[in-house]
Amino acid sequence: MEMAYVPLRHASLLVATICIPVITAVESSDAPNLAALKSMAMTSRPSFVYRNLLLVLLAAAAPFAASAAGMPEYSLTIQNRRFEPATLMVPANTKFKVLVTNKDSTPSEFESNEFNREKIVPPNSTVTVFIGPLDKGQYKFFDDFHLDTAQGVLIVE
Amino acid sequence: MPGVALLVFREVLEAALIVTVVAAATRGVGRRGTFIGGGIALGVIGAIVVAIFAGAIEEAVGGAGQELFNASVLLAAVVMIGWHVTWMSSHGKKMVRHMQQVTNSVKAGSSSVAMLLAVVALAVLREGSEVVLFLYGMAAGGAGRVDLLAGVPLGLAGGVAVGFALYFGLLRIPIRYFFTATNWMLVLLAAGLSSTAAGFLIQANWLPAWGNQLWNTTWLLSNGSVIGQTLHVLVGYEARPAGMQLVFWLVTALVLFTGMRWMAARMVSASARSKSRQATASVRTRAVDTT
Repeated sequence: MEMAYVPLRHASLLVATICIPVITAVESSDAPNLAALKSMAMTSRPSFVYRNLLLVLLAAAAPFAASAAGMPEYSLTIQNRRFEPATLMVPANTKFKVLVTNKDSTPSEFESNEFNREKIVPPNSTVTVFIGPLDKGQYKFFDDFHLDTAQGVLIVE
Repeated sequence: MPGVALLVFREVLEAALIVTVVAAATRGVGRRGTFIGGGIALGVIGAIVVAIFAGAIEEAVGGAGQELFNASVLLAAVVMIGWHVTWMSSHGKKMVRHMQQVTNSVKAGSSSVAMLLAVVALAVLREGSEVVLFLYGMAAGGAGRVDLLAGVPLGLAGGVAVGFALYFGLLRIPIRYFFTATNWMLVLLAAGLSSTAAGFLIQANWLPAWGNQLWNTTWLLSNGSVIGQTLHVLVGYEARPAGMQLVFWLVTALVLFTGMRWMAARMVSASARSKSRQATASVRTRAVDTT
């Protein structure tokens, strides 16, 4: 029976690691349907122990939850396969939001290897990308679908 | 044309590396070619569907639809790989000892092989949808027909060639260590996919980064280079990883490793009991194609 106990402990570790991101995500989002998801996640675990584990993790994860409220916001436009502006000034050590608008009739992909982001921007639409906090410096970004023309730099200071 | 060929090559390379590891891990399985081919075909169809609905996916879940979709696809692949490697640890040793038993073992664990085929489909779907969007954009944007007609086959052939090169390299591993090696490759692959999923969740602001850049090894190997990209797929290499990505990588590797060890330990005690039954079973089995 000792054998059965060990995997159970590993299973609870797995549950914990799955729950942390889920709970953090739930905490950091404003969408109302997530409250339902949260209660569902709690009731679907029949065990009292698991329910308490979730509550403990919820409390532990709450301080780490990211909030989008009051975050600095910047805009970038892709037009004629170029970024406008091609240089964006942002503050150091702060998380910020960039709204990327594609005014072309073809899809683009906003991407950077230097601040590790990658997001498709459908034609005539705007997407939101959360970036940072970043250290001071210059970070290149590009449109992966129009590499030859659409290049830009993020200046963090 | 170089632009078209290069982008197609990069996306095909990522999918091809995953398909290659899966192909190696299912070596000796009957009708494997059909299964993998089916997985690729499903992935291509899925890629086109995803590309068509790219706008709708993006607008879902408060503008985080794209990241959540990618993270879900990646984590689904991680779970499926996890299922397969734990199953393999209980049957892999037997497969090596009696290669002719493979057919029987696989019948018993066909759900596990189906999982790996789904991994193939998901990999092709994810990378393929980017190719479809890119090519649609190029065609709609008035790129020359020659560019597309020459660039697409060139990029495709290049990516597939790297996959085959890796496959034939892996075949040189002695059969005794072969499935141990492919299992480890699957564990590293899954850990990397998990870390990439974490990256998407950070980008969507659904997860904290826990340190946006733990270290920076761009000077050594950039994620923009082909080798950096290859290692990114195979082992989850990041030149500038976020803390949360490392956590996902470590937890996935640890959970799969523990699962493998646990199943292998259970197998040892089970096989001791049923040794005589196995002996009779191996007499009954037919020889199978081991290519």
